[in-house]
Order: sequence, then structure tokens, then C-alpha cells
Amino acid sequence: MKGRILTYTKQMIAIEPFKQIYGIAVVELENGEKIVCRVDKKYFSVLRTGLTGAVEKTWSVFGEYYSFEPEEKPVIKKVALITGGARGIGAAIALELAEHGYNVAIADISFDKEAEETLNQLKSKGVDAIFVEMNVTEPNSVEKGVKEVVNKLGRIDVLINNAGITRDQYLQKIAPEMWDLVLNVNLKGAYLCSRAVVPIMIDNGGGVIVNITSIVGIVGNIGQANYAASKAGMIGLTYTLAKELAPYGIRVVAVAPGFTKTRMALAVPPNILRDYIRRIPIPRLVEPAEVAKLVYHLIENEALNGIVVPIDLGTVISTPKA
Amino acid sequence: MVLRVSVGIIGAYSLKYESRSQLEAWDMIRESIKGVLNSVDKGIDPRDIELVIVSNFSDGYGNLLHSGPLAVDYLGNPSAKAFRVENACVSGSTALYIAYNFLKAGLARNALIVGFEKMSTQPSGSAANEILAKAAHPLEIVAGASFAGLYALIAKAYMDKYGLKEEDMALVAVKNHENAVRNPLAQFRRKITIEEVLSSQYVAWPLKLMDSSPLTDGAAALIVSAEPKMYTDTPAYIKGISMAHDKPGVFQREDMAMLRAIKEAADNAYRQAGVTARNINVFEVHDAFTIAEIVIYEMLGLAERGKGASLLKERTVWFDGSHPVNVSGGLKAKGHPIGATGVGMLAEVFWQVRGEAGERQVKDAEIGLVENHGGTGATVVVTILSR
Repeated sequence: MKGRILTYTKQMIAIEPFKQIYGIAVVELENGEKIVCRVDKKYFSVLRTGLTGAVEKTWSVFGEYYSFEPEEKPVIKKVALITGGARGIGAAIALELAEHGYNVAIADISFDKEAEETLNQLKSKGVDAIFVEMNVTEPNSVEKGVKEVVNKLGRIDVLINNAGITRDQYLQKIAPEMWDLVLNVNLKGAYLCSRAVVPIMIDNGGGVIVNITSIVGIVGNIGQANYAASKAGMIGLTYTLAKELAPYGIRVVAVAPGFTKTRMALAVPPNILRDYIRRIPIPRLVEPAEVAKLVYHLIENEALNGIVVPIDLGTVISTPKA
Repeated sequence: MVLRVSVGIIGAYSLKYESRSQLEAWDMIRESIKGVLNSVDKGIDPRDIELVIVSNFSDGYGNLLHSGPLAVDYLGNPSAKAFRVENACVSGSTALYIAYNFLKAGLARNALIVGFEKMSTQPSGSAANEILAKAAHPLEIVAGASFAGLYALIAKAYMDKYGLKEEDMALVAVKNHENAVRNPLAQFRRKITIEEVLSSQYVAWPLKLMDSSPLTDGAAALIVSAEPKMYTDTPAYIKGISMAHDKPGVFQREDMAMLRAIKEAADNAYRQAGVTARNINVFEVHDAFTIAEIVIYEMLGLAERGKGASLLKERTVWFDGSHPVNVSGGLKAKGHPIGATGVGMLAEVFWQVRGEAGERQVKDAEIGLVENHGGTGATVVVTILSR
């Protein structure tokens, strides 16, 4: 059936039992009959009185309803913000998303040689790419950075909470400053960035937050109490935000990489790293591009929410031997 | 033979409306009955009250059903007959409509009306809204429309047709919040600015949180009499009362920018009372969302079609204007405890025409109107009260 919108609304607060935001439109069918339809939030930007489109009866567990699909599709260039995007896993994710047509903003503490190289690589993919200077531990810096992304790229659809550091030591040697620094960057940073980005995602009609945690947050690791605590904290953050933000069409997921071929892993003394790797079923390092592929899948697959996916060559199943 | 009976309200009581009452729903009923019995000037023997009607929307708001016999027990007249009415947000005025007709027909001499709702018993706003959403057309329910969403459809249709702006609607909220400051019974006794309304979160575009009435716990009660002078020298006579229906679904209506049944009910009530909108001194109307109040001005005949918002700019409907609307704070700021809402609106006009409204008393108010509706105006009751 074909129809034309007579009046409409964008319902920005979800009600039970549907728990999602969507549009409601009064649509006049070609035979003159008027019906009320649900319109997916991805069409919010094109909604207007007089818009024509296809009407279809749609089955849902809460009853059959009419859905309206506009003929005019929105032209949206999705935007991803990746913290710690200058290098390592962050840079790999930025490249993967650019490969798939996302405009990307990489945020990092300072614009260095690596950031410049990553930015150039991104631009060579034919997408809009920017660098944003951001200290994820500072609320003002985060707010300012997020505003800059919206000003320059127009929106934010995906947030990758990837910025992370280690200050490894045995418990007795972890100074309070080392504890605070790791927790502030890894965990507080994820909280601050999520808090700043969510209102923008709500206005867009939804989005995806991906937290880059670690298998260390699941199984622990000697000498990494601060890092493990921060990564376990991100898992709790993931589960909670996945529940809290679902009504707004925002999904929250996490990946938990095992040792990945980045500067962070290579900073581990070689004998310790070798000893660790030889105990896991596939004894090698995870490639950053492999993590990036998984992240892309998590972003695109709309059935995924509130999960933590280990990408670890079997590290978790080999615990406690590892 | 038609009985020439003058039915009037002889007592009224309302609990303070709150976001979260410490009272259970049954305590709210008991307190309201105690309060309304005490409010009758010359007193009334509970045994003279033969009819009890409880107005309540949902057992999901208060965990109570079969409230009739409970009210009879609290009243203290075991031979009174009681039942509960549900007619969405117009349950309260529906209770009066029934009581009025019982009394007119000589089936009872006095009736007690108690309205209550304890909406905070729901765990969240989105759960509370699920219950409200069931008062719509089935197609609207399955599509997942919230009440804010349905009023937003009306607002958008109205904006398209007449060029209304979001800031025009915001004025309704600003006015009603200012009025609520003068009402000790109101849920929100706080002035707000246009900027606050405009910067509040969209609930259902173009309506924002501050365009919307809140979830409220509250109860109110009235006593209606066919022999009002026996109980008070200054009853508020029911000069007109009329019910009308529109199509239940917004989408079914010829003109979605109006609330047709309000006009029908108001015209009937005016005819019964022999008055026009101009003669009314004080109005309590169903501003569930700001857009509703603007459309109501037009349906009641206070403004021409498409010109409702001009009454706000010209201050006609403000407290100091010639035709003040919602001096109580309205549903927006006084609060909207569904089953109690209509009863509370009638109580307000009862106090106004008796000159008992304290700081918010409209000077020389002799005749007042209550426009109370359910759904998106699918059921309307308009009542005209006068000294």
C-alpha cells in the first residue's frame, strides 16, 4: 500500500512495552482511508507532512501494526568518534569504519606523528576524517571535543571508548597515583565520553557505544590490578548502559581482546609475554585489524546489546592455566 | 411529570497533589471522604448520602479495585449504593454526570463523589505511560503511540494549519505554573520561564517535557445535593452539564487540529445554562498538554479557530485577564492524578464561585466552567457551575 503523511511526531521517550523511540504518523492511503503508522527512527531526518511512502502490516510480539517506509531515504554519513584513535586498536577501528564509509573523528591526548599518519590514511579512504585533541579524564575537554566533532562532522552515531593505558605493577608497588591514572583514563574516560555523546545520539534517534575492555577484566592478570579493575569496571558500565539506553535506540557492547599486537602489549617484558602466549590455544598475538572487524560487526548487527565478546585466541577457555 | 430539581455542589475537598504521596490509595480515599464531610457548611449526616461514585482510572495506579464498598464503609452509611467509574481522564466529571442524573431523576437526594489516583505505584514513567496509552484507539495502541505522541500529532496538524510556534505553546506552561504558585494544593508551585520550557527535553516532538502534565498522586471529593439549601446557603448550582464523544483515534478525525467533542459539549452546556463563553468568569480546562489548552480556547468559543494562542499574548486567560483559565495551575502545574483530576477541577470552581479560593480567588467570580476530557478528546464533559 502507498500512503502520504498527514501529521506526525517523533516519540523521543520510550514507553513500555516497546522500549524504543520511533515516529508515529497519520497516513492517508491511496483509497482515502486514514491509518496510524509507526516510522523507524532512521527516517527521522526526512519526516515531513506530505511525505509519501509504503505502508505495510508488520508483525510484532505486541500485536500487528502498520509501518511506514518513506520513498525518500535519508542521506546520512554516519560518524564514529574513537578515543585513543591515533594508534593501536583505535587506529585499526578507525580505518575499518572508514573503509565502510563512516566519517571518523579520532581523539587523542595530543596530535603527534602517529596521529598525523593515521589521519592521512583515513583521508585516503575518501571519507571526512578529523583529529580532536581530548583528555578523556577531563569533563571540559571531553565536552569540548565532542562539540568539535558535531560542529565539523554534523553528528555522532558511534562512540568507541578505546583510550586506555597501563601502569603495571604488583599490588604493593601500585602507588595511589598509578591506580588513579589508570582508572581515570580507562574507566572514568569511558563514562565521561558516554555522558557527553548520549544526548547527541538521542537527538539522532540512536547509536552504538563500543567499549574496548580486555580479557584481563574477565580473568585477571598478575601485575595488572589497576588495569584489570578498570577493564572489569568497563564491563559493568557496558551492562548498565545497555539497559539504561536501550529505550533511546542506543546499543552498548564491549569487546575484550586478548594480548594484541600494539605498543601496549609489546611493552610487556618479552619473557613474560612469551610465557603467557604459549599457554593459550592459538599461541600468537591478536591483530588490531581482527579486533576492528569484530567491532564493525558489533556496530552493524542490531541484535547485539549488552554483551562482552572476548577476541582472545582462546585465552578465556585456557584460564586458569594462562 | 418532570421534577424541577436544582442540583448543586455543597461540599468539596482535595488532598495536596504530589509526585509521590506517603499515603496508600485507600488512605487517600478515606482522608478525602473525611475532608468533604467536614466541608459542608451546615453539616451532613452520612445516612443522607445514598449514592457513592468512585472515580479511578487504573488499578495499576494504586493497587486497588472494587473501591465502591470501601468508600461506603469510610462514609459510614452501609445502605448507600456505590460503584467505580472509569472513563479515562474524564472519569471525575463522568462521576458528576451520573450523580447529577441520578439526583435529577429523584433516585437519590445526595451523592458523594471521590476521585483518586496514585500513579507513583508504577516503577517508572515509561511503565506509567503504558497504562495511559491503553486509553487510545486500538490501532494507536499497537503502533506504540504514547499520549504525548497522540497530542503531538494534534500539535503538528495545528502548527501546519495555523502556523503555531513552539514558543506559543510554551506560554500555556508558563501561565499555569505561575498560577500554581498561588495554589497550596498544587504539585509544582514554581514559576518557570519560556526558555526553560523550550530547552526541556522533547517527549514527542514538537511537545517537550514542560509541555506535558506530570504523573501525580492525588485525591479529591465532592458532595452533590438535590436539596442544596438544606446544607449550605451558598451551593454551586450545576447550571449545565453535557457529555459528548469524538472518534477515539486522532487519525480518524476529519480535522485533526481540533477537538470537536469539546465544542459539542460546551455548546450544550451553554444552552442549558443560558450563557455564552463571555459570561463565564473562571475556567478550569484539561491542559494535559499545552497544545490542548490552546485548542480548548477555540472549542469553548473564547477564540476563533486558529487564534487560540493570541489569548495568551493578550493576557485574556491569565490570572488578571478577563477570562482566566486554570487559575489552579491546571493539569500542567497543579497536577493530573487521572481519577481525581475532574473532581479536583470541579472543586476548584466550587471554591471560586463561593469566593473561597484564597490567594488565587478570581474577583467576583459568579459563574465558572469545567472542561474535562478523556483520551485525546474522545470523551468530553463540560460543566457550568454558578452561585
